[in-house]
Amino acid sequence: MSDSPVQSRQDLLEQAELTDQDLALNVTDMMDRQIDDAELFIQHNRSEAWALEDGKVKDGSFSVSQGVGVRAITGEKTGFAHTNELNESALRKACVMAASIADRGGNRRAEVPTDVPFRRLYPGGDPTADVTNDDKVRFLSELDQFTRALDPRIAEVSISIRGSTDRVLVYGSDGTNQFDDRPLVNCRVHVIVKDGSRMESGTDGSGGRYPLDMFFRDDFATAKEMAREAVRMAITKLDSVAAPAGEMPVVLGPGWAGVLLHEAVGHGLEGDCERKKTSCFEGKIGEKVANELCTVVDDATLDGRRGSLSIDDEGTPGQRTVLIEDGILKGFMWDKHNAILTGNQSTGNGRRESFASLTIPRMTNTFLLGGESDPEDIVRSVTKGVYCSAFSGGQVDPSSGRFVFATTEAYLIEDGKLTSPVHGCMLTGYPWDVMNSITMVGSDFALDPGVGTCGKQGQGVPVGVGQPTIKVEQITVGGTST
Amino acid sequence: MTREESATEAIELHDENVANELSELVERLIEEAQGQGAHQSSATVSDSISVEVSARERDIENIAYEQGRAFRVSVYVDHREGTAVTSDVTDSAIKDTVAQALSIARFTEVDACNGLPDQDRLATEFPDLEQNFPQPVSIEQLKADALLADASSLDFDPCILPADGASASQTATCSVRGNSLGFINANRYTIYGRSATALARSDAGMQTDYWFDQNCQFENIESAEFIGREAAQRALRRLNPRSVTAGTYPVMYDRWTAPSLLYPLIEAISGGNLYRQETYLQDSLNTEVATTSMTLREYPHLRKRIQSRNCDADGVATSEHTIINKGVVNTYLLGTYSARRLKLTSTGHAGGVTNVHVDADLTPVDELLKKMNHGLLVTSLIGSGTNLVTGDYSCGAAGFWVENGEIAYPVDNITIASNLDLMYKGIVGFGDDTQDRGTFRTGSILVNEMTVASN
Repeated sequence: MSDSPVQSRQDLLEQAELTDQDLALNVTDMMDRQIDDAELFIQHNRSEAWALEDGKVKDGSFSVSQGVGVRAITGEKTGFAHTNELNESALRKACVMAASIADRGGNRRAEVPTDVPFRRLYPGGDPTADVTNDDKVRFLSELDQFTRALDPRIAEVSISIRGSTDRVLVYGSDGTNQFDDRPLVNCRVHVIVKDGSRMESGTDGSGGRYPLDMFFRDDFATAKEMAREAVRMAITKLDSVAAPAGEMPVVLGPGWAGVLLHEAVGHGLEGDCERKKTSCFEGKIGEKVANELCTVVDDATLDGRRGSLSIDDEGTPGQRTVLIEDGILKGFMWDKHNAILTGNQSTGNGRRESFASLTIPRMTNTFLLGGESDPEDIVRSVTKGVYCSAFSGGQVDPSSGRFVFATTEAYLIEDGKLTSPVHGCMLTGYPWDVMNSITMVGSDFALDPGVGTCGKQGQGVPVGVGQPTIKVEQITVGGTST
Repeated sequence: MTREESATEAIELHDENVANELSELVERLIEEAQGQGAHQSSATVSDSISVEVSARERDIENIAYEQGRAFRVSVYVDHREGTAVTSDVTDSAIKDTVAQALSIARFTEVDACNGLPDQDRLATEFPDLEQNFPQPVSIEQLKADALLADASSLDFDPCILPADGASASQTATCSVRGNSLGFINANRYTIYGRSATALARSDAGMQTDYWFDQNCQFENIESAEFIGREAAQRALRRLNPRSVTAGTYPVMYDRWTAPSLLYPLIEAISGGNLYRQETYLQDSLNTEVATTSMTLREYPHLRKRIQSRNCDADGVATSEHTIINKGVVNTYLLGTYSARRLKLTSTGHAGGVTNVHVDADLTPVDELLKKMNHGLLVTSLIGSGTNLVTGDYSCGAAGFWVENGEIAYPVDNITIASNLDLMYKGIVGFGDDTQDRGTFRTGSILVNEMTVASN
């Protein structure tokens, strides 16, 4: 596997037993069936995972997934066929099936492939190449011993590391001819602690598009910090009391809490919802949808982040898109298909889980920019409420806008101070209520550590979120204490 | 692309030989693994063909064809395990993939619990569970079904607007599992599905809901008209929701949400969570964990059911079980590895449960509402807020407020919270509106009290 994009692209085609000529010919043939657009997506994904449980490195797996997805578009109609058989005849068969969607004449011709320059945001090649299997096993064992020594109440430790490289080639009748080589790694530490009859769990993890060896540097410094954090969280929760129930002020800590924006506004601003008029934000460009302290962006161009994309899965270079600026709705996130149908331009948000899934508009790294409030002042401003610092995830119904997200570490705020930790609970609200009641935005902006996966229409893709400490005046907290 | 090469209008199904072909592949994989030095090995190969057609605004939107084959091989060397998965089934890929699995096994540590099931636990009888009903449904038929479901939803009421539309699909799968103890089992099944999404709009806002059905027999899926109308009806009834005053109320899960109430109970007594100590039901065998009025029985061999199976993911024979007997845990749910970790024997549950029936005294649903009198009827849940380690439960919900035993108005943007232990012991009634769609055969379930919060 090569670090050079040109060589790596060549390797991918050779593995697929295909040539550039095969791609050009099949696209031209599809266009002869009078469709508007034809696209080939060739992918080779290699991943490996190692896991430690019960003090033993007991699980290792290696997986290869490869295939081609063919898309034929005519007006609003899409024909899609995919196969994991890679050769010219399988490709041709998939092209015939996809093009059968054609039912009326588009008169477009295939454009000559052009190279659209873009900036590479991460290194190509295998991100696990610099670490031997011996190193991986030693890493897991030493980190296990380190974690267990942190507290006598630790009952179980599980640790996993993963690394994958995803090579994709997008070739389309609109002249697209782009290749990307995307690394992705992560490390996760999970602990169970026991004190008498009480048990709790704590988890920490991080990852991104960088070499796996990042976790191994400086005597495993990053990983050890994650272990400390997982243990701290679990031990803290041992003393937790019932969370309150009802509407109240909530302070959300920096980083991961950005999942609030991802659910509350992100999904509703994906272009398919706008085209189908199923979003609660439909037709609201230029209107105030959040407190003026709020500026929300989706940014695929951050170096090495989990949600970053040098190019999206349609070959459009990754971009920074302002969604909400000073509380005013500025734009949606678009893929090519939905953008063309609505007279917009792709914002580089066309993503797919793999060659076996259809491209839909998705978020990359979505976050709320930092403000001016001192985080401590934000907590001090609350007489009675909840402070949430860790989350397990969320979900949204984009048409009603109703969203939920689950906090896994939270504290009561009483007279401006954090007091008892509380059990994890669900928070729920409507975007316009919640976004308008963000009344303080902290100066401590942070991105999440790189562990998020977003699910939509059954497709999971890696994403990033971020925000500074913020205060939401009113949101429903789903605890048990009334 | 010449004119002769047009796409087939009917879906090409697997030929009769597919099971033999895949079985040979499994045997080759195991031979290769043993040849390269594995002490034990197992392999799974699956091949599936599917077509899904979706319609929106009374027109076809997408047609998606899928054809894929993948294999997984696990090898054991001195109780060290390595696994490799690939979608490349060429001869050289088979060699490489097996070599990768073995190379991983050399680095993992010895774990005496690793390895194939004991020979006498492997399934030996494979009665036909009648899950395979291949029939050449044409693309035109799927298009017509998707269009009809979409139109039935749009025509149902003027408040229904075009949204995500409807779909019709067909999948045929053949999977073969085998191991170096001589076990081999081929399984073929078909799944036909129809679904519709509906968006209802009023001055107060929009609500969406959906409906779907799937079955291994094409003629047994609910009609496209029904699917479309049901989606529309479900979206309409949610319009103009109100909020409720936070407090403690009885909560009834309707028959479609009741499975998600019961599912954490199954998870909490499953082997993986037990040996990892990730459950509040540690050491719960023969103890009371739910209302004594509830029994859960599992029937793995029911005919014509997608969930049914003769053996679990390890090849261990499945059998009928009383999982919960009058509120008491009668058996844990164990696969081969978790059973060995817990020094017990496998119950044939690697990969989970099959068909679980709720066995209880049933009450007519309107009587159950009367019994509840004043509380929340849950018809939709959002988000997952269950902490299995502590049993803490908190979930987003929508449904209807019930006053004086009657449905009064829709409610939305609500959270319901409690603890699983209290909830299962606090179940006070089972509705007679039994549904038998997925894993759980159950009617509505009434929980005596939960904390309800809203804005």
